[in-house]
Amino acid sequence: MMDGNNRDKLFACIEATSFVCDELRLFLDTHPTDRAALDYWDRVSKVRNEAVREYTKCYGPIEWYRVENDDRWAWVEEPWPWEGRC
Amino acid sequence: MDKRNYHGSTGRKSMSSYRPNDPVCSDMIGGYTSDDMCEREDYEGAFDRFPIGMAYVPWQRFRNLYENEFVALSRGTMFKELDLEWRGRSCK
Repeated sequence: MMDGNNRDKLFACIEATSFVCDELRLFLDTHPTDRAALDYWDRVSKVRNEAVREYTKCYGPIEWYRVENDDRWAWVEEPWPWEGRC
Repeated sequence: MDKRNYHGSTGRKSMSSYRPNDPVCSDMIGGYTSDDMCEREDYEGAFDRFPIGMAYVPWQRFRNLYENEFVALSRGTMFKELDLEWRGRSCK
């Protein structure tokens, strides 16, 4: 299990890679065959997916459509953004 | 660009060039090919050859990236070429 410091680092990684994925998506919308951009997309989106999976496993879901439930809706168990996290 | 396309499309009777049986765009087909505008490298200094009244955006290249995703996020773009000084103001 990771400590709080690692949790923040992981979340920062998700934030930054999400941003770059948005940038790449915008670029690729108009340059859909750009090899260098496609390669970068493969790398960054892979890291982002991995980080989200790791975070979700350790701390709970951060994307509501990835919520995996046992016997209760896990989405509401973590603090809401206005409760001091995120 | 042929002005008749625009005058004609209003459908006013005074516009004799309007031909109701022809597609409105027929004059344009063949007049423009993708070679006219797309992927042209030589547009700089050749603006007089562009149709007026339209907006043009210089083609972006995948180059001059910030070194990593954290720098990109803090700058608000991953492209150094798009990291420009904000000079926005109202035009009053």
